[in-house]
Amino acid sequence: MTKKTMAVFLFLLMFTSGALGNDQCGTMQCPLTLELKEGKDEIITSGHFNLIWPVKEALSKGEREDDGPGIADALVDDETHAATQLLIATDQSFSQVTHTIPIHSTKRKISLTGFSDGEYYARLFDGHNEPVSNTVKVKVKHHSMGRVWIIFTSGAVLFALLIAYMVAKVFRHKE
Amino acid sequence: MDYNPISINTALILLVIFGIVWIFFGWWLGRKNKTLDDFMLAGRNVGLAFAGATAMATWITSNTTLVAPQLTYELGIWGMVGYSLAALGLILFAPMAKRIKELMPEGYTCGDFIRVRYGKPAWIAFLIVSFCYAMGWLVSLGMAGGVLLDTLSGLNYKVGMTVILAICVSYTLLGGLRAVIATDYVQTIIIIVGVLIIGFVCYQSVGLESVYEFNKEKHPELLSLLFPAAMMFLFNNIFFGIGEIFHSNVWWSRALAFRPGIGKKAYLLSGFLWLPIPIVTGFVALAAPSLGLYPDSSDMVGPMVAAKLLGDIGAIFVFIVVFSALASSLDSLLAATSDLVTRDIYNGLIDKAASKEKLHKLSKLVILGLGVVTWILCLPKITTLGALLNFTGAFVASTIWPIVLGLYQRRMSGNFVTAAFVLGTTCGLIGYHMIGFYVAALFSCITSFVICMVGLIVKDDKFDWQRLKHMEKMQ
Amino acid sequence: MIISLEALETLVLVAMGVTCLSPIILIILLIRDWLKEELW
Repeated sequence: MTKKTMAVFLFLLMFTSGALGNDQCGTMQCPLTLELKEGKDEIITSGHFNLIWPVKEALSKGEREDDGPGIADALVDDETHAATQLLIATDQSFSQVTHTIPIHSTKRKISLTGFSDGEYYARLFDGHNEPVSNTVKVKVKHHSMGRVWIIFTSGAVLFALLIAYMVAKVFRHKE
Repeated sequence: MDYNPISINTALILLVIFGIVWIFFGWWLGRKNKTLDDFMLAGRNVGLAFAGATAMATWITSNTTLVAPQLTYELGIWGMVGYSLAALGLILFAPMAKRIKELMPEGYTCGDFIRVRYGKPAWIAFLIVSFCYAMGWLVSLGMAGGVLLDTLSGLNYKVGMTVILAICVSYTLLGGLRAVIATDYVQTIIIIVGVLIIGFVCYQSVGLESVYEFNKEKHPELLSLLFPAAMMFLFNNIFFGIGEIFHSNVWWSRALAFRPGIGKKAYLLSGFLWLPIPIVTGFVALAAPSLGLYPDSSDMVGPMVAAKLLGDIGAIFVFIVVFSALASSLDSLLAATSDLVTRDIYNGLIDKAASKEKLHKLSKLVILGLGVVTWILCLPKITTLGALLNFTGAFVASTIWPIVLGLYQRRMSGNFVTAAFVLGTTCGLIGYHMIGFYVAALFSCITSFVICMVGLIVKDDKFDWQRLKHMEKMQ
Repeated sequence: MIISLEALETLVLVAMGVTCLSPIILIILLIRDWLKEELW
């Protein structure tokens, strides 16, 4: 590959990767990139998922919290960001918000749980309710009950056999 | 992380105090150790109070204090109840502990039993299963210690992990199983009181009704009795727990160390007293969402809620409780794995004529060696080790039926048991990769069960129980 | 189908009650073993 085609390729790559994070924060590029840790298109089968918004290189000179010198040095991650809340809604326009979660200014990931089947949209907002990240779509679809009952029943049968043997033979055993 | 609830200085002071107290205690108890039996099996005469407490403390690991809240947070009510049913392992092991002590009064390890009962191929397969599991557990405990200190105080992971390992290795080395058992007693009391205070404050200050109503609206699956993933997890976790206890030398060495007639009572007592603890530690996690607490990663939900409810004092409580839980399992595992290496690998394979004095010295070196190996494996902080522990479910669940049947059925033959270990583990691993971690132990146990049943029908080994009485040496 | 509040409350309270008993039972057993000189 020549230098010229390489440059074109890199340009196109930058262009497309920008376009993929299609959500704009007002007219600006969003300062935070919100991601589903389990994988972009992963279907969540247990109602439990993790969201992350890692530190970006360009933003690493954020304000530092006054934690005292000793402790601050030991902290792994004390870079601050503008997000103050994470909103989760059932529609992309965030008109039906189901969860409003306060976010600490140094928090970089969150573990969420107990969601029923459905499509959810998550986005970070600042103190003025302005978006500061892209929107992430999370699809929750629990395991089918058919599969669950097969596994549950086979476990129950094996367990019953073990208990039956233990009661009949082991607990009643006389030396 | 949001913040570090306790300062590095406080964490270091606590570590130094714990270190000095436990190591002194270990040295003080170790003065009475004269023989290999004293060191490895605490003189084979442990009474009910110590016996019950040590079984309980060892089963309360970092898993009970960190993973029980995690599973409640992820899988809701079934996660909490399913976790507490791991107590069945202790309860079902109770009559077996009595049988083990009667069958092999001169035995040292579970490896001794498998070797004499089923022969060399089954013994080697069993040692691989057992050793993989023990190392996985040891490393996950060492790592949990480092991660906990890092989260609560900001103390460097490597420093925290090294200090915790060094303390446990030191007192196990100085006092042997006697120190392990006595420290376990004190640690049990500390853990229970700490867990109760955190649970009680949570119940009082947050209120169960508000927790319930909040979750019902926002996180309904947590309260669901038909939560699919949690239902699949339920029996898998039970078999994992039973497999862990039935096969591991941690529990066999205790059965042999307890005074005759004590084993059954001690395991029953510890099982019933352990049963509610994951519910107390777990329900705290249900309160997290209603407190506005959503952890960075779900295994830190317990400490987060405690720190939020009790402030800095809560964080110190969590520190003490989890440290005690870690230490009580780490020391037991060091001692039991060292017995397995000394007796089964060294005395069984390398130097069959080794004297008891030589084995006594060697078992101390092995404890030190295990500590160093664990330390090296913990250094890179491979975050998937929690997953590795679940992975071992495929291994340990294959041992359940061979052990139970081996203790009570003369017919059960060694060839089929070897096949049960190997094929059970293989099927468990296939299930782990094809479906998920929540079926690994179940698939392994089902396969092993089928092979054992075929073995019972096809072949009669006519095993002579007297062969176990005198612990035959390896041919 | 979700668990009822009463069932959850009973579960948690019974668990806390039994857990409260544990240290008491263990301390009584320790004293008993110690008096009978059967600790080890």
